[in-house]
Amino acid sequence: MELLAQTLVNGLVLGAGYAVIAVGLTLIFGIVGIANFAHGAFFAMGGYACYLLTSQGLNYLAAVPLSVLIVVIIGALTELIVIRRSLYGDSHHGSLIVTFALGQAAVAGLILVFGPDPLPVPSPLGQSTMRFFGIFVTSQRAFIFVCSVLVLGALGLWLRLSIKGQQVVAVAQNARGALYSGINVPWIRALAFVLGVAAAGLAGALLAPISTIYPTMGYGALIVGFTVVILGGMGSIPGAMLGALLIGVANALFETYVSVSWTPALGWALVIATLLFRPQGLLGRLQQHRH
Amino acid sequence: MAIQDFGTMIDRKQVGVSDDNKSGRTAREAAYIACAIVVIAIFAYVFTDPFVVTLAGYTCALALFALSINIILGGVGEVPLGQCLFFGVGAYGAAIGMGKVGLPFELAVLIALVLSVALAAIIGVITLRLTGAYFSIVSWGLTGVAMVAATNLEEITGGPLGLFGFPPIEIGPLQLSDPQTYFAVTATILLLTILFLVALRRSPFGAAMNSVRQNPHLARSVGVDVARVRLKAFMLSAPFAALAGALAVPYTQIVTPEVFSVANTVDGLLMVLLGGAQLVVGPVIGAAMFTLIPQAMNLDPNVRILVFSSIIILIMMFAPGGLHQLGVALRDWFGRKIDDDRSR
Amino acid sequence: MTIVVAERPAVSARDIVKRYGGVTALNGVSLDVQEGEIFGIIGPNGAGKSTLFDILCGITVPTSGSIRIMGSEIAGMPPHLIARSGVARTFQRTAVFAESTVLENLLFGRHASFHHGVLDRIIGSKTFAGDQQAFQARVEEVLTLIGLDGERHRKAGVLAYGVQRRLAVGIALMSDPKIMFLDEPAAGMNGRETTDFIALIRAIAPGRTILIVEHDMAVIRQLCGRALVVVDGKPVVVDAPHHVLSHPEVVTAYLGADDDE
Repeated sequence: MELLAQTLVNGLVLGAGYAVIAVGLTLIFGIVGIANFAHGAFFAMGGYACYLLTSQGLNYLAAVPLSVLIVVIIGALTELIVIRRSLYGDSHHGSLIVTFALGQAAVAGLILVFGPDPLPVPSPLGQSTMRFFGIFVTSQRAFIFVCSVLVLGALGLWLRLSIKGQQVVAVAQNARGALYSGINVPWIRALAFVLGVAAAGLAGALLAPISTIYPTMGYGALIVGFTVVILGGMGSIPGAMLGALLIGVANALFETYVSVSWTPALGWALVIATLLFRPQGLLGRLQQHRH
Repeated sequence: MAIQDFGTMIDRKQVGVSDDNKSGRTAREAAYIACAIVVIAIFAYVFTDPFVVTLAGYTCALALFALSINIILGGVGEVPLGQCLFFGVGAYGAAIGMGKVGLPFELAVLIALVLSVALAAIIGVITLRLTGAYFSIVSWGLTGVAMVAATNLEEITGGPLGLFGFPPIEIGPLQLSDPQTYFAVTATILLLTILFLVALRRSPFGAAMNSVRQNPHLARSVGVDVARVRLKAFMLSAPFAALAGALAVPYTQIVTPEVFSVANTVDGLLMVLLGGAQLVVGPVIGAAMFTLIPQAMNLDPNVRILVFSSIIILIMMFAPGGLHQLGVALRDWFGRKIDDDRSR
Repeated sequence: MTIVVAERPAVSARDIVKRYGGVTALNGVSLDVQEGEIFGIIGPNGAGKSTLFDILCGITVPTSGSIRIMGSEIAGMPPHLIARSGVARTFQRTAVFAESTVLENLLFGRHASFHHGVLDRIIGSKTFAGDQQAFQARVEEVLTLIGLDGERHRKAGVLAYGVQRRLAVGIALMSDPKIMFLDEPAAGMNGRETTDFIALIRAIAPGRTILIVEHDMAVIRQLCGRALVVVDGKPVVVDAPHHVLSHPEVVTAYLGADDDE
């Protein structure tokens, strides 16, 4: 049973990381109204920012928040310059193409600047292992889990208790109504976008020491993000968290008990099963109107 | 034509009235087609540099791919990020059919076309009912799966090195290894495709597609089965992409897992957006510009993706209708200038 | 004003409940609309009338309750099939196909009314020719009715707002529907446009059942035989407009609202 417990714990850690990515994606989709195909790029930027900072001698633990800050700045500039200008009223494919192109440009840029090979990001937590009730968890993994839970919790509280947070929720439910109530909707959208990509960047910085960073690391995050969101239900934050947990645990179980190399196929199988049998996901609303 | 008539025409254009003179239109179109055939003939027989001619043939294949993307993008308004899936099916189908099974080119291509339609049906049924983003991301993800499969199934696909060393490719008596024949064949297929797409646009199904693109809710309420239209459009676009993939093989002489790479989608999208998605020949114009830019094809692949993605972003920010939109705007502005001059 | 009584109502709803997450948008609404009626649905903003409307014409699925149109249960039927069985609807926003001309907008309506199949079209059968002729005649009729005969080649997107709404009604008319749902059709219209619009609806009403969601009380008063008031997801009263509008609960709900033209 120890193996099972170990696997479950690993799954939880994975799930926590996925949750951060997916919640960021959901925020953007629910409030800005676009499916952010550049989400993976910001994940990668978080990892690379972390690499840059640590290679300059900065301690990893300080590098993580700074990396998030860097991603916030890039995200804000992107929203201001590009995203805003490309959202035309009811045009549903404008944002898709733009975010897709942004993602592609970012990956190509990273390859040109940093080279295509994986790069290591050192972390003082990488060497030690902790032990809970007979289960081994590397300190880095524990760190990822704790950070993810803290950030998600803080986000939840902020959404519920702060003024800006409540405005964000209002815009998600009824943008026009929010506008009439005097809420600065474009500003809220920008805020949501920046928060969403910051989450992706954070996940990138957190996961960097575990898997090394490489230019196409964003694709994995993007696929995972969308897989979780499809499973949990597009537009539902609790759904994203639930979906992330399930996929994290499922992946870990599959990897341990079935096969490592076929694990990516599991994600796809789950997506297809969801789309076939319960298209609204576990907690999503049944989409009567396509976005 | 009297200036008075010209002015009236401009006025009509300015207030958004469209010209619906049917017989005049048919005459003009017949003229376009005749011109196109003449241009093709001239090109094929005047230019003797084999490099230029085969490149032109390859451009026609790429234009065909761009047209297939536009059936979806400009047609029903979805973004087919996974269209290179069918391109790859066509390329590998031709290569495997010829190289491994010993089939004649035409037969291999035919099988690839049928496979692509079947694939489109399966993917479409699962993904097209829902948010457009789902369709885009799943089809995109599947190209990644295809690339991995092509890399690993070495017996069938030749693995990462791919398939090459084909016997001279021919369709019946037409030797595709001859540059001029290659160009003539691809250009003809391209022309036929354009004619088909124009006819499609004018057909009731084309109108249904148009209504789905502009306003799916309203389309539903006038009785259009939106999901079915999207699926049919998708299934229609697949064989054109596959055909393009197959026609690219005589030029590249090798098929590697890279045909499934998302870079091809970036290229294809750029071609469509450059020319303008609402113009049937827009993607063709885009494809032509693409290969005309010297060394555009020979850039370092990453530089290429970076530059082309940036151009796509700029287009979407400033002129999402591409050159078509710029051309119309220019014509309107010009017409207004003439009008101003006239009224002085 | 006569009240038409038929054996079975044209549109009938029983105990419609709609919940979104924790919010109850509709809490037990029932109604019967008789054939030939012009029936209004009014209520303050957020009261649930748009939700009710969407459910009645089959676009949204209710959490519970049943809807019958012409006696047949429609819950779960795909919207395009509902459209093809004689139900038409206009929308509040995005009412027309903006990039297409007026004529093209009307032509989009062909799908609900054709009786021939692809084979007929290819061989040019009599059924096809008949459909074509009938359709061309219909287009001319509708163009005249909505007064856009001379504007047929104008792009719908450049039309004035009120004119777009007339076009939207035209699109809905193309399939000669027995039942029409009009969603805030007079929203944003000025006085003159509203008057013309009321005249248009009166002209097309004979032989049809029309349901209207509206804020503009002048429209409701002049067009509707009866109106249902929905407040906070619950039905309050169903009666002739002048009765409904002086009902105490309705007045309270609308306190401060501008309801007189």
